[in-house]
Amino acid sequence: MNRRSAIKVLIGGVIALSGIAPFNVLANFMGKLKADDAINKITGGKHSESSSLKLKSPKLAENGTQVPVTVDATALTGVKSIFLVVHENIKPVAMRVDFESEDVIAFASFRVKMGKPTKVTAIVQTSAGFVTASSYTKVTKGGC
Amino acid sequence: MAKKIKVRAKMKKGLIEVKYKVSHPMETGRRKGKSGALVAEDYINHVKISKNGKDMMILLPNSTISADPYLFFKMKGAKGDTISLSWISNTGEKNSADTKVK
Repeated sequence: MNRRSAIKVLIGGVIALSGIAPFNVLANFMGKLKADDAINKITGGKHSESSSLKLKSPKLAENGTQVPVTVDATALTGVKSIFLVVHENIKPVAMRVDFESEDVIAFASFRVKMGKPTKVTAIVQTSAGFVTASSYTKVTKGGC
Repeated sequence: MAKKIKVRAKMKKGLIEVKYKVSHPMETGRRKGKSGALVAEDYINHVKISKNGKDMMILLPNSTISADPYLFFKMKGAKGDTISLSWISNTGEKNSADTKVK
């Protein structure tokens, strides 16, 4: 066993123990595919839009390499994870956030690369099912 | 090569607000370097956040996250709690940092 496979086994073990999908399942939607397919793979085709999920992304981003995105799911209860999908990117799923503890507020903010003007969708997994919210960001200079 | 992790953790309105900036190139594998050859894929794909040694969040970023990833989140807690972040990249590189909440 070399160093890399040892690390993979280690991560796999940690994730399996914490009860999340193992890496091979994850790789299914983290790779290069169509955004709608990625969304369906995450949610299993069952999801609904909700106005209580707030996705904040700029209407116009001058620099596509640093686009700030904020997902605020504090109005929802039983939030397990947040997924962010950038539709026009080659790898549409940008981030998956899993909440392991009740102490964490269902909120996350980070910066994403965007290749061209794109629809952005946040998917939130709650104990009651999948909830989505979308917005559109115009990118003047792509960075992907 | 040591990669810096900048962190600010402060109490605000009864919650811990944590801001991280991890220095990392987050190469997508599609950019061409100075020599004209593609720069190999190199990005953080696993981040773990814990408080006082207990897991709080697990983040799985893709290569489409910006270079020098910035992360902002909130959690319940108190002054003096220890927040730690550890990351692993697809190349097997890793780093971690602990910080006390002010």
